Amino acid sequence: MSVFSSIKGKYHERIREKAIGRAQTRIIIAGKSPEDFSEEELEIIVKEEEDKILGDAKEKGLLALAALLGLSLWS
Amino acid sequence: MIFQTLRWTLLIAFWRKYKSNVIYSIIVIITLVALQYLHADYLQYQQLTAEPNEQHIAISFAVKWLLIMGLIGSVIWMWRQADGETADKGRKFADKSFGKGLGKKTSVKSQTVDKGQDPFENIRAKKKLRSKADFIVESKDD
Repeated sequence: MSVFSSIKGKYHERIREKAIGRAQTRIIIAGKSPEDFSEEELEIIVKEEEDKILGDAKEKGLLALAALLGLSLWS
Repeated sequence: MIFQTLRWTLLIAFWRKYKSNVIYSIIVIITLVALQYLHADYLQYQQLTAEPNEQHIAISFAVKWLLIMGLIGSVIWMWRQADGETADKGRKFADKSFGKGLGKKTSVKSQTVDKGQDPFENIRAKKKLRSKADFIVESKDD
């Protein structure tokens, strides 16, 4: 069980890191720096990016499943 | 036609992302197969001789398994290295951009902040993040 929980933890950690990276990029593009924002504001931005990543992953997974099963792509 | 294009697109995307891993895996598999053949040949040679040296055979088994363990260890090390590189990429990109400076306002502000301090440190440690709606609800509760 600990193996599964550690894998889950690593997965969440990766998503969080990616979301932070995207949030930083978004802030940079806006011509600001993370220090300009309060912790609450940063949390909101990272949360939004995290939701986007999870949504994209779900969408891509479904598309891949449809491609493999429905379209019999590899036959 | 569209399936062909889709298939090639997926294959190219996979190759570009996992190129080094694929090449390394192929090298490891070839090495393992070569090792097995070499060891089998050596055992056959020992059997063909009039008096097979048992000590040499035992050493050959030990060397073979040591090499296999070494290869497996190197594969795990390689994967860990690759994991670390991808995690660092985002941070390096941000660091580079901050280093270049994005105008006077930003550079002046970042000078006042401690260089070692990461504004995202607390967010990284949090288990669950709150959305804007959560903050509004929380503020109304008080």
